[in-house]
Amino acid sequence: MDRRTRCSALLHSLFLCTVLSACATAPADKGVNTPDPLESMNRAFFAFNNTLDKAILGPVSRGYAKVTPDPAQTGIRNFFDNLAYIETIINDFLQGKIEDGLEDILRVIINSTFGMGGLNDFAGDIGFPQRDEDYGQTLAVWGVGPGIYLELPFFGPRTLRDATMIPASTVSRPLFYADTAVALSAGAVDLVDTRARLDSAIRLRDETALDPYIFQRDAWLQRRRNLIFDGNAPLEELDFFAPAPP
Amino acid sequence: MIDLDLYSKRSLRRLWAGTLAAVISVCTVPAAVAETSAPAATVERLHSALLEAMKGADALGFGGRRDKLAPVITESFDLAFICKVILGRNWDELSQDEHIQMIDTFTRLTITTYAARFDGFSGESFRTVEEKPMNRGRKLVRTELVRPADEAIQLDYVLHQAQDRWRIVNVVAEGVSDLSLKRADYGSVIKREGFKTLMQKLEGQIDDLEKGA
Repeated sequence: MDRRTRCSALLHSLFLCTVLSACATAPADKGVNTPDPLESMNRAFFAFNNTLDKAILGPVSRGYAKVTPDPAQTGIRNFFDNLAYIETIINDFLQGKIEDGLEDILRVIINSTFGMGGLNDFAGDIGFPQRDEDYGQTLAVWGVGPGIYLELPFFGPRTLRDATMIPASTVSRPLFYADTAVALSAGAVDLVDTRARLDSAIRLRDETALDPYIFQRDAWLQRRRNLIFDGNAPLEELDFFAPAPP
Repeated sequence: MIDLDLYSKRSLRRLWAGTLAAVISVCTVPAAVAETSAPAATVERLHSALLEAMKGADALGFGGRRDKLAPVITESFDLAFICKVILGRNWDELSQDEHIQMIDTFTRLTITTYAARFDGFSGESFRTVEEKPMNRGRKLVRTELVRPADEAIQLDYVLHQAQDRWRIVNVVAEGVSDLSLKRADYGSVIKREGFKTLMQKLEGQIDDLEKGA
């Protein structure tokens, strides 16, 4: 990717950050009641993504999982997690979690050195837990509402709030600054590995769901809410006994 | 001659001391480990049955696991209430026979799902983390499924009191509510295809689980 494209993506992200921060309203809905006015279009993209997954990504990732020994898969997974951890660190600080941010910096240093370039999660073994923060969660913490639910081609489920942060997330990844050939091949391995991680969840969805689109949408929105609250959502948010919306 | 007065005074003193010790010990046990509380006990009974089914998975086979788990699941969960919540406004529009059909099918699906999914043991254990009060007298029991080779899975249970016992009405895994998922999923089928199709699809799921087990 050339420099002009990178600068444009960065500016785009900063602009969206500013606009969305300005639009923040309190109290923000953190994603529980996310509307889906584009359901017909979303269902079409969901079918498209699934066709793509069944035809290419699913079989490739299952082949990868079959031929790659478990320790090698863990190493590859750790390597890409470590590489992408910069986004978690940035968002720790953006959310005011200074201690978490400092711990996460240490985690990357330890794994990049003693953990052989990130292949080994040595930091996790000695008590530095892996966290999951991103720009979408930061906006939620700042009070920005989720907007509508979207199923994006290739990317999958997002809220509007999360979708606007895709460029910021992209420019936070070291691979974005690598040589195009390196970035593409490493990105492909990362994609296949990520799909392999999701395999059991996708199989569970296919076995359990009567309407896979609705099932995935609801599960994804709830999972995002849990991440936003770092696993400690307010108790009333776990109370799902209100009458069903009309 | 036995001094009855002294005897009774000693007994009273012992009783008093014993009561005091019991009160102190109850007060000093943190809420998180107060395992005798009824909501946590319901969840722990379920976990213990699941662990037994997992440990004896091969010897029991699918049928054995299903027979072992069935009574514990029907006692631990308020399945009739869960069906009512899942179907929401649609519940009121159904006949009594359809209510019975829904509860029967959903009960068989729940038991079959647990028997099919908990089909092996790799050193897992369950840990009760804490118990918290919720709105309308409900209780939340936070637990973890501890896995030796992987991160623990957060499993939260919502319970309410029905027929003089605490029963589970929702399971929330890593923040994802089973009740909410089913309400959206089943609601979508009823809205587009009706109650009969929902029943056919649930029966189909039971068949698939039994065939795959």
